[in-house]
Amino acid sequence: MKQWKVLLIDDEDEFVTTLAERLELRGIHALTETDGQEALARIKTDKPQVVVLDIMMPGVNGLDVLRHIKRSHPGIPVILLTGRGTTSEGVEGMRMGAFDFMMKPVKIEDLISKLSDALEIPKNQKK
Amino acid sequence: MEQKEIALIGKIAAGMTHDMKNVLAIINESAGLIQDIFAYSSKNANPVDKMDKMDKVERALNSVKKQIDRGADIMTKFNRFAHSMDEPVSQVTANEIVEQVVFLMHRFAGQKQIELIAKPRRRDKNFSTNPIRLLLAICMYVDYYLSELSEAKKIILMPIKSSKEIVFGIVIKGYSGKEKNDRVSFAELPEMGDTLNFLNAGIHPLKSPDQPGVKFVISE
Repeated sequence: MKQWKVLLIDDEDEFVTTLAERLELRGIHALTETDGQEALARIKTDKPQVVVLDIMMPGVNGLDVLRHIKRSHPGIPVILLTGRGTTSEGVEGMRMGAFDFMMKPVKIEDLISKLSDALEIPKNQKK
Repeated sequence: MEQKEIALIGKIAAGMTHDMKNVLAIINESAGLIQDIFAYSSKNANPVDKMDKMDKVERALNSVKKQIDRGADIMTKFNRFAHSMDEPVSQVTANEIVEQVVFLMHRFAGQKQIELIAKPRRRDKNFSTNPIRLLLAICMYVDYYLSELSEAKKIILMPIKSSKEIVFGIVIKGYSGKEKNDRVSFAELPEMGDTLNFLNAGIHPLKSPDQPGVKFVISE
């Protein structure tokens, strides 16, 4: 089975590195970035198949990053993460082209299921 | 209390709870990683693999501990903020006020990549005030500058020495003001007449009307 390549973008470094390690244990290649601007450059060079993106980030925020991704790489699905208790930002992100959104903290099984949906991998091939 | 003050309390509370969700998200991933390491461990793993796993477990546990400390600090300070509403008038110190404003507003400054710092005075000053309304008033000016001065590098909050009054300086650094001077002029500051009257306070320019930054002066 071809290995998935996921880019995790969140300004909380410990969050993305730990999540990446957990995904790697499950055979998913996870790249990490903590800065929106650098994440955009990383997408260009590393061409991830799917992006997991925190909405609330300093500087270039998640929705700005999403806008750039949808302009330059419209084929890459983006799953948004939000720390808010309301769905308004997530819905706004979906209106802008995000595949879906999830509320923090996420369950790893739910995230993998969402990644699988985003990549349109049949359920029976799921990791 | 005015609507804009209530709205600011909501904004601050939303920011704090958002930070707490980040703390919980990291604890969640760290605890999950430890579970994963045991679940994916082979009994026949070689010593190098075992060392590597123990190292990961130790890092994850350190991360949990660090985030618990971070969460406790957020909750302690947020609790102090909540208790500032207990009494209509209480004793505070000037240093406490600037430090608390920095705590309440630093995450919003961080989003704009502006450094917000408190510069306490060596000789602190005690005074009586309505603490919540004073905190919110200063936060509101900081909020205004954060939204209007995206090019600024630093905002410094500091008590200023005065024998008769309580004075707080809100000083903007690293802002040239060339392009948007009309938007940051003294006249454009948020209208807070009722709050200032309530606190027996006034707002004055730092140096000239075009200088970004103000002096918040409370008459005793």
